[in-house]
Amino acid sequence: MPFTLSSSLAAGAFAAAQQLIVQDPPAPVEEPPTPTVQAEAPTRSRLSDFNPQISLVSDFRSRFANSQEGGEKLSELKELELGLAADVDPFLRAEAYIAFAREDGENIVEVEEAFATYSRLGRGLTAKFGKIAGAVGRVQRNHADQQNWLDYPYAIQDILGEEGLKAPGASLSYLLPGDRFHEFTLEALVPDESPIFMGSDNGKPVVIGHYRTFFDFSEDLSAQLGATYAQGPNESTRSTLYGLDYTMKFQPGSGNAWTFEAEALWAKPGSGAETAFGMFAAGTVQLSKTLFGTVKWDQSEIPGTDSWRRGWTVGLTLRPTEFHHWRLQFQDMQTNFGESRRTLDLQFQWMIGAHPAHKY
Amino acid sequence: MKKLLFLVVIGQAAFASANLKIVTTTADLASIAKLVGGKSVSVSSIITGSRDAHRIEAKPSFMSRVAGADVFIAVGLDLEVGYERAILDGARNGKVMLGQPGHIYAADYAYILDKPTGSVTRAHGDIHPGGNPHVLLDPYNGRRIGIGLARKFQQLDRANAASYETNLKAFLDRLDSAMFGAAQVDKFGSESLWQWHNAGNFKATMASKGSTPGGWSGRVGDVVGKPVFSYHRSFPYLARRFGFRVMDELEPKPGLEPTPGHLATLIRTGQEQGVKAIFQEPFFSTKSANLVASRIGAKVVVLPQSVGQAPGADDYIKLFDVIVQRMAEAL
Repeated sequence: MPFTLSSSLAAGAFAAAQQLIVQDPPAPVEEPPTPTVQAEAPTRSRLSDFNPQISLVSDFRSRFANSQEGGEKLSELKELELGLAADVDPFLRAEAYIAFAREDGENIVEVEEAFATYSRLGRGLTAKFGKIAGAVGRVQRNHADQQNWLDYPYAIQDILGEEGLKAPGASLSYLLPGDRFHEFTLEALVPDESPIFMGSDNGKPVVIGHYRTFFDFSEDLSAQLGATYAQGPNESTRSTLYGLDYTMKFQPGSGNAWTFEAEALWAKPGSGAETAFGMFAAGTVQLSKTLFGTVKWDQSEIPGTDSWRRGWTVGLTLRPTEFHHWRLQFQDMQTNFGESRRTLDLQFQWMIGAHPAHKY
Repeated sequence: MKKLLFLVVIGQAAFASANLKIVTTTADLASIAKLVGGKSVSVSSIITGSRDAHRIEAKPSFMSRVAGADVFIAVGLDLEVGYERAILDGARNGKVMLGQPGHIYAADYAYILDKPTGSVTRAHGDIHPGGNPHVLLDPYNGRRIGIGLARKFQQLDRANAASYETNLKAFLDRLDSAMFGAAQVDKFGSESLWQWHNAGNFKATMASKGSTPGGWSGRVGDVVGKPVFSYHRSFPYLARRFGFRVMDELEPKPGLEPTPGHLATLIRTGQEQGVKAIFQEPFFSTKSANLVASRIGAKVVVLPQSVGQAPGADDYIKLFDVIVQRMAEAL
């Protein structure tokens, strides 16, 4: 009997509450605010909702160098990156990033990434297929517009490739259950070319394993630690790669934020070869709401050679909004295989459209 | 038979105690979910303290928390556009993906202001195509969202449906009494009081019935019609409910830093219109507001936007206790 009574009470309250939900929005207490945007055609087709999200990132640079090797041209449109993303169906999401770039004085078009992800496999699994940025470290997996400097660190360029390790293949990622973040990623990629992995076209893939964990020290301070192991073909032998990546961020609700990021790579290009070491460490400090300062140390040994380079980078970024910035960057690079140089770059980067959220 | 009945009762009790694990984006949503969910739910928010909900990074720890959730509640209207999708994708939790029953946009239950009627571009600043997302700063929207969440929880956790109904009634009673005064709610009923308030004839109707407003509606009587500035376009819902007029924002456009030229315009407008207060969100610098306030003889009033952003703003209803007190003192 009590069950019936409570049920009828609940039903009554449910009906009353439903009336609340379905009633019209409240009449204004005062005059409605003036629309902030001028009206245009009142109706349009909703079919456009199925169009992919489109973004375009433009990277325009001017360079002043103290040597001929510093750059071929004073000013150039370094790259236009077109991004497309959409849900294919309830199971699959596809993304593609196509770069229109200048390389060695020539205009090229390159598919940087083009992949589709199954995020609803359950049990903490996701699977990704297509051309992807390999799970080596953290920085080379982020898009260029997310970097706090202009180009990838020397270690990434010299060991993985000028644009990092981006190659066709498959990626399986597993998030451990629990409140602490632990993620394992296993990948098999077939890169066309990479300083450390060459000759993948014989069908033997590069196998990559990456682990990362995350620490919330406080509401404002957090860090991510990652470790990489990779093995793959290098002409007639096999190369091995180890890596560590560490990122720490201070992100207060108000006030100035800072980021420290560092990565180290150890690359052994085949049995008997010397292990090449490369690393970078960078700190970025928010000087005001729109101004950021960066200092970075780079060093790398080029696998399979006695060559090395290292250098300091100092940069100042003015970011009036999250959609465009001006960056002035000075770099002093020393090498034992070519002309050491000092360069001053001015970058103007803007972004339009719906660019995906930046990763940590 | 007694044994069977005992087993049924034990079984029901075990089922009835099944919890919903809820993760919300903002702390005010978490508070409403907790007030409505009671002991049948565990709730946490990914945004805590005084943070701008527009500018949150998708930290991996958020993904782990959402990975184990039964329900994910966001405000919607693109407030969380910069991080929601990344968190959901990283969480790999099919129950709370977009379009699933465990994914809720609270704004779906709210009335919406500032909805652009034409084309929207970023030339308008950090504008929200679906309308202003600060919906929870009108307690009437909080009321509607509370009702909407209770219905959702009842669908997802039928065993505790009666408990959600009881909690909802307690939440509405507390909110209505805080808004209008317990005596006024007893005398006229909350439905009538909200109806009069929404129609804009609350004070006159109360007077015609020989009664005076109580609760927040009584305390903020003097703010009606008063001109104010705000830093960001956060307060249209609060203004509509309590009747003050936001003449302009310190941001020249949403999301942009105040510029000297715009502040000079505000100083002129403030002097002409007799602006007496600048309502400021707690996570923005008060430097520009202090400058303008010193020139026009106004006060800078920091109003919490969400639960936990000011001492005493410990839940959704106490949040308005703080807001109303600060508004009433300033105006």
